[in-house]
Amino acid sequence: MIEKKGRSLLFVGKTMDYMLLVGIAIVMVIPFLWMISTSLKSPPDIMSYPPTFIPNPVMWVNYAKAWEAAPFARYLLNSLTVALFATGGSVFFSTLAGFGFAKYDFPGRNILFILVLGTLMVPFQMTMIPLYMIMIKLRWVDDLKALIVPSLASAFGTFLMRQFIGTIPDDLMDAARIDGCSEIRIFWSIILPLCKSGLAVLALFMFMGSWNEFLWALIVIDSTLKKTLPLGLATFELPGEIIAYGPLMAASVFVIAPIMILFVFTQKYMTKGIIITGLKG
Amino acid sequence: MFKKNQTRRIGIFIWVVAAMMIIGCPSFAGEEITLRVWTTHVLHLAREKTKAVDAVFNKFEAGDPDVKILVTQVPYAEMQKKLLTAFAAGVAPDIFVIPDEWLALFIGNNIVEPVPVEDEKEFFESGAWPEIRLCLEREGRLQGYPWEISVYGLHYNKDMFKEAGLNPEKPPKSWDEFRDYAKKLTKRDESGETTRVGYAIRHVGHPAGVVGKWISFLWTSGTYLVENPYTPGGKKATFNTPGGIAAVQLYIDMIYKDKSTSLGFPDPRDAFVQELAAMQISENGAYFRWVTEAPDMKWGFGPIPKPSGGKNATVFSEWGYYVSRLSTSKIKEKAFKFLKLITNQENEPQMKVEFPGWIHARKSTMLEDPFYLARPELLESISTVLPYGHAYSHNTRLSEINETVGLYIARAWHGEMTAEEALIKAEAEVNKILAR
Amino acid sequence: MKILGSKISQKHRRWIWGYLFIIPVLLLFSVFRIYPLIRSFSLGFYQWNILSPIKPFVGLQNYRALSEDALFVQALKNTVIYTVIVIFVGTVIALFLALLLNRKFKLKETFKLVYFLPVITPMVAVAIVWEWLYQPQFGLFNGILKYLGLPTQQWLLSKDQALMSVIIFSIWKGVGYNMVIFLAGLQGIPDIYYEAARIDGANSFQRFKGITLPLLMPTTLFVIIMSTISALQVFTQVYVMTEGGPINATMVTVLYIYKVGFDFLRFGYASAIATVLFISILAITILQFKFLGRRAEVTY
Repeated sequence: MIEKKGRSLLFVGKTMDYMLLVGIAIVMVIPFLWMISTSLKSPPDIMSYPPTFIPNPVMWVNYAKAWEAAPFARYLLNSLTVALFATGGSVFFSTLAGFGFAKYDFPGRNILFILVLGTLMVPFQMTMIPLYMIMIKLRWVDDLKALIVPSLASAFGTFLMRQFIGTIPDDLMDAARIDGCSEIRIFWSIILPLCKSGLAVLALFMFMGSWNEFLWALIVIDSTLKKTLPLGLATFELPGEIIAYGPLMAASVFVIAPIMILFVFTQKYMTKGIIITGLKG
Repeated sequence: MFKKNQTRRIGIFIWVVAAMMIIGCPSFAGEEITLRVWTTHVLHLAREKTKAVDAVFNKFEAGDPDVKILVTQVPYAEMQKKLLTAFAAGVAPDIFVIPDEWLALFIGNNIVEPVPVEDEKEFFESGAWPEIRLCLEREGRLQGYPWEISVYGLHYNKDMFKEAGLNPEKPPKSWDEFRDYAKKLTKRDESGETTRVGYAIRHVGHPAGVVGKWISFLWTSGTYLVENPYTPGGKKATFNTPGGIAAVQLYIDMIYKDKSTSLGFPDPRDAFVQELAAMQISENGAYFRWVTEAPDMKWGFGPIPKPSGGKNATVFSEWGYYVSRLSTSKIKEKAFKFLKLITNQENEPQMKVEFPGWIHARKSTMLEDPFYLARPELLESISTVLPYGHAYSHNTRLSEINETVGLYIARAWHGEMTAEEALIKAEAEVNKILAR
Repeated sequence: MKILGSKISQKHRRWIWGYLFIIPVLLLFSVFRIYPLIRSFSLGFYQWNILSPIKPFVGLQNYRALSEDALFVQALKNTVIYTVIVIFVGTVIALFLALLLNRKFKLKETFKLVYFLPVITPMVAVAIVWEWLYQPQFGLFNGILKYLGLPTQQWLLSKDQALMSVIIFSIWKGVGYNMVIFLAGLQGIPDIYYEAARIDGANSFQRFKGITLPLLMPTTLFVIIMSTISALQVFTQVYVMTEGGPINATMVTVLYIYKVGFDFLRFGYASAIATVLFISILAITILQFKFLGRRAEVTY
């Protein structure tokens, strides 16, 4: 869509648009602001009635406490390692598979695709025990490999890329084939560049998924030094249902920050996918 | 971004590294024995964080240098999932820390190795609370050592008592007093809406919690949930009695007749700390929240009220260290040696240095604890309440029983049915469950 | 292509390439997803106590018990209500936000980030914050109601409102996610079509209906199917905010599976529930493909 400056969505003028945008933004951001405010509060302040937005006193020390409560630097490194490999791999394999499902009509295609999707239809609590047993056989228990390898194949990613690649006209591929391009060349040089926005979204979501993965990391990691960030957050929940809210919120801010950065970065890749010049279908 | 050749080279490089990492390094099996310990609290057995704990570990390693101790700290709320998955997959830890509610299941499936008889003798002779046996003893043998000990009581706000003309040093002892005080402590605003309840009820959240916070009332009226409650295999529900009905009715009357409590208030502990409630019943450990989150509040801790003609009773529960029967005998031997060391009279204060105010295994440890030194009446209250302790039932189907009972009594409190109906229906379902 | 030899027809050559492209994913799946899936289905025919070494085969007993389980029925009901509302309302709002943000204006990226914040904030932190917002005595929501002179609500504490409260939270948390997907999909619609339509005199609404909606169909299909699959398996927010209460008003299928498997240790029964859930989701997904998928086959 041409990014028309000055066009209003609601047919009632730019000011209404802005008011709407800001209104929605407020709804979206208030819990986040409350989180930040809590991260700077002392325990009596957090539980005070009636509640206040401005912390008094301002407990910058919560951030230090949070950082010291667990080896967060290590957790950060672990999360980063896992997320980078998991993202790179899953984007790559998903795009290959999405391409295969979208552009090739082989027997059993639909059944295999439904099979792939089917893996999403069972809650993880059920499959984690057999999966854990596999990790034991592979000797990957308490090893970051257990967090990376199973996530290299992503049904979400395969489906997403199938949809995006599906919108690319077959004519482009046929023209390239006539020119003598191999299927791999077609994939690499034609398809990939055309689904940049899909790739950007996929990379973002795969990274987020890996970054925030809690249950599987909990099950498969034992040593403190191999833990990932979400496990670090759980540190603040103590027996007796006592929660150190201040440091918990502070730690949550550390956890979100890298994703915010990644988000802004990937949005730059959300540019036009297709520029059709002179190609008549 | 990069030139095509560069991209390809970078891609290949990344994949070679990845492949290497993924194919990876084999693990080495050492000669030494590894003792795998799973616990819940971040500071528990954290030798890298606490010098006193490190010193105790060193003592052990001096005597047994061939033993390596690997501690895994699992967030409290997640221990269940992780532990059960490990057992299901056949890779249990050697020592694990669990609450007594799950113990019946582990014992019922023959997973727990009981503490050696001589160790048990020594432990109790060194002054450990005899009540510890309530949760940890099965068939005459101590199954594990206590870790976190909890006793339930009535937490009350002394300032609010004074304000209502009640003696802040005398919490209510009978059900009648209890109802009377709750009425006096309730506050309403001009429009008639309750701004503070005299007593806060736990009625939402996990049914085990709902039942647990109320069950002391059931016990004080002489009723138990199940026949032979302290055996694993009771087959009949026994709570549908006049005593049981009275215990359910107590809350119903307080909600609808006295209007001294309400289902519209959140978790009682939150309500108490925010001064939205004057009294609440929960584990003693809730006072850690009062101390950190409401440091100016003057609070008291007393026994749970009993009906006239009833007996004092309260929940007594423990997380304990247990040794897995599935480990090799060499490991089990070392495990018990380790546990004996960290729980003996000399080392207990060291191990508990990060846990002031906890109910320790021995009164002697508590007498040294700065938290209690600053609050002598508290130690007094706890000593009074401890002998009233009752453990949760040892029945293996306790989870399902709690789920059912919790559901029906909550329904009665919400006014969907009378107390009698609720208990009749609950009894029928529980009997079905027990018959399976 | 000479590698494959001239004996293989072009059609078959294409087939081989198709298989080749999907093989890495299929291999990884078979080991790490499909095998565990099949194992967990098979458990449904056993009495599988996690801790007991005795795990007898019981045939269809678990399934028979399921048909008499009132709580299972309630969980299904709650799950369906949850799913229907979250999908309809959530998808429409996400699309609306994507359209809103698809034009060029100052601070567009900032707004995008703000709308995405709920998605990236860890569940543990957001759930606590929303519990405070819903707090009946002094939570923000009741505070606003009081200010407007409206009666205050019980929200999560009320058996009639708890499910809706969780639904509102879920929509809030998930809308940014689908918005980003829709935005990516909108990028794929060539400007030429809009130009042509504008020249033909079509107004905004007609352009939306005639170009945007149809060409966005592949993305919309994706959003609806994925949202449905995940809504039918809602777990974390309910577990954290209400544990299924009050009085099972927010009991949902996966929470029930978790309770039965990990609280009661009846893993065989839990597996039977999960199998029934799986079949339902599969059926719904296939239906969605049939009815919506046709419109997603876009011809240029």
